[in-house]
Formats: sequence, C-alpha cells, structure tokens
Amino acid sequence: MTALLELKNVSRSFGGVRAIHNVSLKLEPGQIVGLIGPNGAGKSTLVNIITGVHPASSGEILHKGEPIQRLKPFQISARGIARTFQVVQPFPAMTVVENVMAGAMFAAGIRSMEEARRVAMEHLAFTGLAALADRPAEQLTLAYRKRLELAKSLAMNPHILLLDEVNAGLNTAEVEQALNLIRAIAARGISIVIIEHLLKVVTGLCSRIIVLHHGELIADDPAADVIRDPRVIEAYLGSRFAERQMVRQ
Amino acid sequence: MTRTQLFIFVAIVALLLAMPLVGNNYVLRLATTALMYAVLTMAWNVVGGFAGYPLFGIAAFFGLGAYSGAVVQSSGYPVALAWIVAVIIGTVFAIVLGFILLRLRGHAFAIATLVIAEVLRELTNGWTSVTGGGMGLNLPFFGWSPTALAMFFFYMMLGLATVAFVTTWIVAHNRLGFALNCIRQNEDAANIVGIDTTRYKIIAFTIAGAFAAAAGAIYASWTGYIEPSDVYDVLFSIKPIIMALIGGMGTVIGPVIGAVAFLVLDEVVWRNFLQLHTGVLGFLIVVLILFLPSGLSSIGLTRLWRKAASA
Repeated sequence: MTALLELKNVSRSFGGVRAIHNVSLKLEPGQIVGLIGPNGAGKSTLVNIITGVHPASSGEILHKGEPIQRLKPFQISARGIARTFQVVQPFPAMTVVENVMAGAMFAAGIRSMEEARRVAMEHLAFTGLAALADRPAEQLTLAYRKRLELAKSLAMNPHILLLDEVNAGLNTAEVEQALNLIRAIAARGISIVIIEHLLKVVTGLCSRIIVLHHGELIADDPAADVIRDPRVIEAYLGSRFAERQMVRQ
Repeated sequence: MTRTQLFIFVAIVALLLAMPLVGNNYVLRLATTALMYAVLTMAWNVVGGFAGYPLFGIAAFFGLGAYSGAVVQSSGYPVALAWIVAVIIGTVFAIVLGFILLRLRGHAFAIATLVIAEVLRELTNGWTSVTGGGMGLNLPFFGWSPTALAMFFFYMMLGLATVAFVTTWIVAHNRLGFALNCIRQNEDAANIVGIDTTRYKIIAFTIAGAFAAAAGAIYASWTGYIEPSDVYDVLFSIKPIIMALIGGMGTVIGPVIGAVAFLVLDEVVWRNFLQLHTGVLGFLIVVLILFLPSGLSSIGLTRLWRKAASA
C-alpha cells in the first residue's frame, strides 16, 4: 500500500546551513503524529518543504504515490494538504467568515461565493467562531486567531493537516480547548502532523512521535518509547542529563 | 448592487449621454479628459487598489496604445482597426511584462514599472522610421467639424469608461476580486489557501494594460498629433495614483470620483491662482489625503444619512 505522504531522503540547505538533512518518513491515513525537537531543529522548515513554501534541495516527496516536490504551494493546497502557521497569517482587513471562505473557494474549489459562505459558516460553527463571523480578523484575540487558522485550513477540505505550534502563546484553558478541537478534527479522518513544544500535549494526543535535531531525524517511534530515548533526552537536555538518566534506568 | 445604486448609476449615465446637447466644446473636451483619466485610474486600481501592487507604469501602456493605434491609423487603416490593434498589443505586452515584473514586490515593483515607460519612450524616439522619433506622429485628419469631432471622442471615451467601470464592478464581486483582495492583505497566506497568485496578478495586470492602451489609442486619434515625451509622460503614471487616492483605492466607484474631483480641482485652482496653481493644487491634495485616507468614496451616502439622522 502506498503511504498517504512519504518523504524520501529530503534535504534543504539555506546557503551553507543544512536546515533539513536526509529526512525520510511515512504518514498513514488517520494518524496523529507529533513532530518535536529543540528550537531550530528544522520542524517548521520541514512543514515549509512539504507545503512547497521552500522547495526541497534534494529528495522526493510523494503524496498518494505521486511526486509533489516540484509543485507550488497553491497546487499542494488543492491536493488536500493544509497547514497553519506558527505566526498566524490571517487576511487582517477581511471578516472572519471571508477568511474561511478563501480556503473554501480556492483550495477546495467551490465556484459559487454563496456556497463558499455556507461552507465557511459550518466550519466556523465547528471551531466555535460562528458568533464572530462578521468581525474583521484583526480584532480577534490570539486564541481566536489560532482557531481561525484551523477553520481556514479545514475549509480547504484537507486530508492532511500540518499544525505548526497551534498552542504556542495560549493559556492552559485555551490549550485544553484547542486540543479538544484537534481531537474532533482527527475524528473526521484527517491525518494530522502537529508541531508542539509541550511534551504533555504531544504524548496525550499522538500515538507516534518524530524527533528532529539539527535537521536530522533522530527518532520515529511510538510516543511512550520516544520520551525514554536517550538521544531525544540528549537533544533536549544535554548529554550529562542523558547519561544520568541511563544510569538510573 | 442595490436599487439606489443602480438608479444613481443610470441617472449619471443618462446625464453623461445628454451632455453634448447642453455643453459647448470646451465642456465636452473637459469631460472627455475626465473620462480618459477615469479609465486610466480604473486600470491602475485593478493592480494598485485591488491587488495592492504599487504600479507606477500606466504611462507605459498608455503610450504604447497611443503609438500602436497612431502607427496603424497613419498607415491608412480605419480608426476602429487601429484601436483594436492597440488594445491587442497592450494586452500582449501586459501579459509578457506581468510574467517578468510580478515576481517583484513593494518598492522594487514600483521602480521597475516606473522605468518601463522611460525605456519605451527611448525606443520610440529611436525607431524613427516607424514612429517618426522625436518629431512625433501626425494622424490623418477626420475632415469633420470641431463639434462633431468633440462629440465623437466624448462618446468613445464614455463608452470605454463604461466598459472599464462594468469590468471593475465584475472583478470586485467575483473570485478574481476576492483573490486580489487576499493577495493585497497577505500574499503568502493567499498562496497557502490555494490561490494561484501569479495567475491572478497577471490577469489584473493585463486588464490594467488593456484599458490603458485603449485610452491611449483613443487619445492619439483625438489629439491628432503625438510625440514620445507627451504620451510617455510620467504624469500619466502619477496622476491616476493620486486620483485613486483621492477617490478611494480598491473601491469600484472611487477611481471615477477621484478622476473627476482631481480635474475639477485642477481647473478651479488653475483659474484662480494662475501663478501658484501647482502649489495650491498640491496642498489641497495633501490635505484631502491626510483627512480622508480612504478617499472621497468613503463618505458614503449611508454614512451621511446616519449622521443626519443622529444629529
């Protein structure tokens, strides 16, 4: 069976810096995968490579068996791969519902604007933003803007959703709400890759965790194994801590 | 479009159609000029207003249209054919140029578009065998009375302006306008929600080029004589931007209001301050833009109505 999304030896350099080096992985339908790693490990870069924002320098990306690494971002969106940005990217002067309509009209290819509005309202109801539909996007709080990113991505009718730190900057209650939303999205059968700093979130949500360090994939295992992996502990906390942990085990 | 808007639109068109019956040639000439600038401003607005790309090169398309039409017409072909050829050349030029220039953003795009008109002017100057170079180009005389000529070109400009206005309205209420709006606000996000930004930008650029070229072609036939420094004048690039600013960038009606307001202001100031008129005009424009940053069209009738009701 061909994987939903497959990366084969993908690399990307910016000048002399190897941001991503020789990463291979597979994503199966219906999975929630956590993507973790210290700051600067290349997590966002990997999402940018998959979505065509920064094309890979080498390697292959297959979506349902077809190469997509030469496609432009709008073509990748139209194939059903949606993403959110770490720094939210709304259309500030447009209303909340218009923001979501954009995803429905272009990536999901809904021709009529009335139909797009109707679909957008459904996604706003799902994400709990329906009451704010006619507000300009720039007036929303950060938590709501993150939800707007989610609603906009969902309107693109994706089967793969890449979430780049959707919880960053949110308080505990807001994180809890966001997690419930992510679980509800997964329940719709959408495969999710979630970049996250809070380990508690990742372990609670994901069955599988991928760890990046200095642009290289150092672990790709079930969640429970990854948090005990000495290489992962070393990447996050340094070698001395990892040794101590090993002795204790 | 609401019923009131439609009524106002029809009333204005009816008034314009009846204009030659009431006005003299001077008024008609002024009105034709206003319509021409309205077309140029609407053309600019598709790129500068809707897509938010600082276009400083309307003069390039205007001049190219003027010269294309003039060359065809002075070779003995009918006027209509000359204008059609001018629009086709303007359109093709816009598509090619769009592919190259729309990779640039912000200041770089502004400067690049500013230079295009200068390059075309030098080329026109140099290609003496076809364009007449710096001596300019005389167009065949129609042999009509001045009044008939004034009426003819007034109606031609009015027709072009109407087409441009309807096009603007359709663009604004369509996927294209929606996409351009997204591009203006956040081009990277637009790309990610599935908008083929390059394609939509080129379409916008092409609409602008086609209308500016058409206006140039009619202008050339109207004045009967063109020269490079006249039709590639940088003022043809700058004035539409100022008119759009005065009227309201990125709106449907703004460019028309802006063009008329600018020309009325220009005429009034020129009559009253012969020595200082550019200074006074400049000052008035600065004041207008400072206090009405969204343009005259932002003082909508509904807002006036609400103010009157609450007072």
